Amino acid sequence: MPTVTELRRRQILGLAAAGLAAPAWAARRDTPVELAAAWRDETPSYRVGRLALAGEALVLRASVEVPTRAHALLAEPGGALLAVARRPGDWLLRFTREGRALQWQWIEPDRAFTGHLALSADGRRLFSGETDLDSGAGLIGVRDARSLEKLAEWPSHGLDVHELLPRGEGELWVANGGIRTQAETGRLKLDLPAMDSSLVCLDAGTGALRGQWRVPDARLSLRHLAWRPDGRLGIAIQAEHAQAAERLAAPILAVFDGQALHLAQGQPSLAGYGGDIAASAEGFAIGCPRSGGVARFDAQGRWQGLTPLPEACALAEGRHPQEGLWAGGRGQVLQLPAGRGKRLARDIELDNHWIRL
Amino acid sequence: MAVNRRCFLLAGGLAAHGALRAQADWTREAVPAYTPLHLALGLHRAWTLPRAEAFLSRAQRLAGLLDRPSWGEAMLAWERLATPALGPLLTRRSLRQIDFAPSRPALIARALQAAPRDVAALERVGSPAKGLPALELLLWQARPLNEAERHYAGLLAEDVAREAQALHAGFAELVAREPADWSEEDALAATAELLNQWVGGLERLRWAQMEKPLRAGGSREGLPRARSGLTAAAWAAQWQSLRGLAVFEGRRAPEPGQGLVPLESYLRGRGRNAEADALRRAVLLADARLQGLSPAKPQPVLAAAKQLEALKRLVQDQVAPALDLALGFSDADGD
Repeated sequence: MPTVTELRRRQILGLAAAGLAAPAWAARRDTPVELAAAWRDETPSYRVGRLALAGEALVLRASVEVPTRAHALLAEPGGALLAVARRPGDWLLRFTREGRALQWQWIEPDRAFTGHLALSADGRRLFSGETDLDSGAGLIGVRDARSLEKLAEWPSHGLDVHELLPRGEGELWVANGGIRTQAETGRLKLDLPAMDSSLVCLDAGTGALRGQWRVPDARLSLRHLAWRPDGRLGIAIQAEHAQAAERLAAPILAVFDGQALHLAQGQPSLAGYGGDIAASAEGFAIGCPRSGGVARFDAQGRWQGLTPLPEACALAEGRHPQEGLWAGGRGQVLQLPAGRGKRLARDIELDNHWIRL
Repeated sequence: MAVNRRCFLLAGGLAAHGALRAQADWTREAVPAYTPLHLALGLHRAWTLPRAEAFLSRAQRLAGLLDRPSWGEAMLAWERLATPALGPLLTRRSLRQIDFAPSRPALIARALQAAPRDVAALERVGSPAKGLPALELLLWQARPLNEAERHYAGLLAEDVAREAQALHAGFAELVAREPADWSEEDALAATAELLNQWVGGLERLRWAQMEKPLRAGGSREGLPRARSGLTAAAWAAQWQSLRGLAVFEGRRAPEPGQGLVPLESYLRGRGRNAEADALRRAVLLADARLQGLSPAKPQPVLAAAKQLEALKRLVQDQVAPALDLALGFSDADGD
């Protein structure tokens, strides 16, 4: 397996190939702060749309109502946005930043979306996390990025696909949450003693398995991913131990260094629940809604502290390192690391993820 | 016309009085404190087994007659049994086996070419070419069935009847269990399953059966039972099941372990009258919206779906916590 240095070199080369290597922060420091998010409003209805910083508040600029709870979002190179239903979901929506629905894509029969999307490096393919509703197997849907039609399916080599992240031109990294569910019983977790979570690297062109890694504790479900510029991959974890004490004290971060997964060190009890993850200047940040804050770790996974934020979950990296991270909570948004708070309307109940536009 | 209107108002008044009297009963006659075991016993004795018997009877009739009316009756009996999906319906994955939608005409054509000789040979045929939806496609095609199609349809109906037999046996086994044979864990699991699957059934009706087909556009064939024109009847059958399990509609609360304990009565027996009242109100509101729906008029259908969504939220946010039960069909949990 490549070393961290080699990973870093490849990552930079990959980003360059995708035309993303030019540091945006060097060019435009005054980009208005806007985030694409999913939320539930006071009606209540589920919505996806654009929020923008206006003075001391994050305000709603535009939104589209969606029929069921949304999960992750993705910004397309052409400016449109994609939102996907939370698992087990059956819709994918392309919409404008002005809040106009452009295209609904419904999942194929006997499949369900699992809430995450990723674009290939060349922008021509859209990867969607999915489940085979017959067998329960995890799948990666390979779609035409323009038409959103499915072209192929790849096995995820596990169950319960969560986040997908490409790296460079040739790799697609996938978090298999590892928990069996069945369409007939919804999100009910079945047979937890047999859960099998893993991190997987697939060839982004063929879907071939390039590597698969597990943490020693089988009751840790790997869910969300974030790459650091140094090539380390952070994985946010949700614990599923039968014993509450064990579950609540479980680590919520694993770091992949190119060789193996290493669990966080020195971490206090964080309710066993990491909701979202982002790379930070410090290392990694994890939104912990059940612990009321953003957990901070260094790049090796060593505990740094908890920044309080009620129901903290959604995290988005700024457009440049000086901007830091945007952390969404209940009624409040924090810009980290400075911890400067902005108001967020209390009738916007953010979902787990958002992205900086 | 004036006489008819007075009769209508009188009948409405009597009905309203009856509803008020039934509701007021619980304040003067204490509702028993039902245990999870009472709920489980009453559910299977008074609800699932009779419905399984009805479905078996209709499925056997369909296998014998193989005509449109018998298909319609079997389908409605199935909707009433399978909404919500409980017990053997889940362990056998019966919805996938005999009600997989959408059926695929190309797969059916391929199966016809393969000409399976008997029901055992249907094992090699995929679910989208079998079950009630495939039978509907065959029985409602524009021309009479040819010999090969009639033979295949006969096998499909026989397959449905076999599944109905297995389900009946499964529910009969549950009813035959003595109370002493139910562990506390079994009873709690049955209670949790009922609530979770009730919400799942509600969501299936609301989203998969009503709202999504209308939103997804295209032809109305996306609606359930569209070929037979029985979409509204199917919706009504599902809703009647959900309503019947949710609210008390008798004159006297059932004796523990003897009759069906609807969720409303279960809540009242635990002293959760506020939640029971809220549940009742929400169910009756939804019921009003669900009357007289037609797939040809989407707006009332979408409005009814909104009401069902509000009902689901109430159960998720108030009823489940009141009963200290976790939901697998919840919008409110994390990721």
